[in-house]
Amino acid sequence: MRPRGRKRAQGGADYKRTAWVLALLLAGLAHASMPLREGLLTLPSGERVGLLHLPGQLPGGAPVLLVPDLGLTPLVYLDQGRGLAATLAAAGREVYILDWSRTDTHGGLEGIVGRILPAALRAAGDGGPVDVVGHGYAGSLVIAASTHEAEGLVGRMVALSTPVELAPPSPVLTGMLEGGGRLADLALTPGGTRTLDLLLMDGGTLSSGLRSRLRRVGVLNLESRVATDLLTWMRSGELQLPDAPLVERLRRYDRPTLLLLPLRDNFAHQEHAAPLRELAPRARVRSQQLSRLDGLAEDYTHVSILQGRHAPAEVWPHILRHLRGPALQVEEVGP
Amino acid sequence: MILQTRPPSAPRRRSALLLVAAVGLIGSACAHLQPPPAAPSAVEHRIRTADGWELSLTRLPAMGVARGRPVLLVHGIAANARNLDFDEAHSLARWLSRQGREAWTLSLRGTGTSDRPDPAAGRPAGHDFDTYWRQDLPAAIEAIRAQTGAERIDYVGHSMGGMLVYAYLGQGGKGLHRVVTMGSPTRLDFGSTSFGLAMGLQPVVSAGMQLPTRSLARMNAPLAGGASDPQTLLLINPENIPTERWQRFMVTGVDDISGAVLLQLSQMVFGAFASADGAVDYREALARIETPILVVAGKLDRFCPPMAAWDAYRNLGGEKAWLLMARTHGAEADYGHMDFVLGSRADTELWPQLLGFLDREAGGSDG
Repeated sequence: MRPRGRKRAQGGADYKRTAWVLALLLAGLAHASMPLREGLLTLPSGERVGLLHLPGQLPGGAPVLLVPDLGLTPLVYLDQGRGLAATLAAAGREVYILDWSRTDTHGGLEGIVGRILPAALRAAGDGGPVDVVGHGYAGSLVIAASTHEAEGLVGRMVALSTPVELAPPSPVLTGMLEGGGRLADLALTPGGTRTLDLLLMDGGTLSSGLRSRLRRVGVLNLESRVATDLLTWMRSGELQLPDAPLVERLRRYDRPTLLLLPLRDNFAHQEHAAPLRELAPRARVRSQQLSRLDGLAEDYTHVSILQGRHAPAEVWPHILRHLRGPALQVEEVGP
Repeated sequence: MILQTRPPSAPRRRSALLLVAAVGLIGSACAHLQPPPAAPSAVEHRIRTADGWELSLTRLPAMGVARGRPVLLVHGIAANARNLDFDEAHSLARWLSRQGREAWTLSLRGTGTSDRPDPAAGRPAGHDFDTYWRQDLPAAIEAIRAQTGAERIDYVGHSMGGMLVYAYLGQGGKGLHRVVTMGSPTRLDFGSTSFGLAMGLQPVVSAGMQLPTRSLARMNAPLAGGASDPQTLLLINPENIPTERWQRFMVTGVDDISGAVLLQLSQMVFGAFASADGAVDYREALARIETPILVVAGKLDRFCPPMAAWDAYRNLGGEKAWLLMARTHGAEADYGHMDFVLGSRADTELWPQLLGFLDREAGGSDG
């Protein structure tokens, strides 16, 4: 029975992957001015890295790599032709999106930091520095990689709720991770759907269509090793990497960084992301909290920060302004 | 001398009638907003600080079988002791007393029935945050120790009440066994545009001012509680505090703010949690605190967002615990700033956890 279950789950993942690619291709067809290309890198280790490429609509635009959080598809950046990716492409940027659904992550977080992200950054930046928008835990891993394995490959960084100092996870998140990280499978039952919504969308202003698409093709089951690694990180409060713990690497992190802190993010809580400023004193981190208190239409969640109804007017301008910023050189501000 | 009178003109008559009608309407709207009575078992003690102010310290005796140390409850800014003892169903003080803990509520100087500034009586206006923890806190702690014979007492601080205990303990304050802080920030420089805008008001506030927040809250009470009301956004989640309770609280638990306190704490928008003269860094001193502290944050607390409370937690030096009141963590609804003390389910969702922390025996000793 168990192998059959696994096969069915694998089949489900294949179906989701196919559905997602089809949806993107259809969206691409519908938006003829926005050709979407799929790329697949194969690393010496045999691991595959899936990238989507959305060419800039103006010549000579600098590349930008968009990294969805672990367990999320590129839908958070591009849904039916709409999203931050399309806006950046329209502004002339060569947009690349890391596609976790076509990327091997059986090496766990260490493999993602050590091999997957450096390869994606090299491909997107053609060996030079590339600006990055990193989402949630995956964004934290980009920051970690940029200090060692991908040193010199990250230009400006936009960090969307990127945890760097963790606490034991909520019972809801613990349950999902202890169950092997079956995030996508949550959508198979009404109770699971409520949990999925609570983690990713609770209190956000997403259209009902987008909510539905997110549940169907926007989330992925995590590799069990990734789920285990995440749980270990959360419980211990520290991510151990081969050479040093994350907190030690952050002392070397020096990329100009915009840190966005949504109040209602239940997947990557703001309090775990905010300490980046202190832990990475060389990085000139500018933080921006997102809350209704500041006149915004919502308090923003893990997904609505990118795809909320008001995100194009309230969140993306911060991102675009930061990515337009000038020099990549960073002042030395002390050890 | 005979005052000459003349009949009012028609427009003036209309204005007068409208004014009377408005006053009548507000009066009738306020009719149900009477402050709830204090606890029948409450006994008010008048204590004196070292600098000569008289403060109100109210004792709620333990009911049933007494157990554990006395607990001092300290309110936040623009509030008074009723913050933590609102009514029979929404009072952390009465709840603790029902659990066998003797509870004491303090009104800091200038609030509740404690002395208010009166230069003629030798009580100048202009007391700041430092005065609270240097004068009022030690006076209350010593009074409770003297009254009860307890060597050390427990402490629960809401909002600024938690910040006060951070400052007090960081500067070597004694007499506390275990501590809980709820919605107590140690920095607010996270890029909030509204806090930035509020700083624009700084030039019109002087240290010697008493901001009449109590009167303003009473006038505004009948209109308070709407979903888009700025006070609602800042302070409560309507899923936890219905409008009627919030309006009644506005006429009971809100109090004046000393301009000096406001000016000192406004520096937190720039990341400074320090003494008024800037000489003592209270954030830095958190590392020296050894008293066990439970730090409670509300997921929907827009005044002290979780990251502002986490900043204290991460910097504390001794035994510490973190509690986020959020749906993901088992609460029926995410908690706002006042929901810790007025929330409909705080007595089942939060207060037992708080008491559980206080009930544990501390490992170290702080005198």
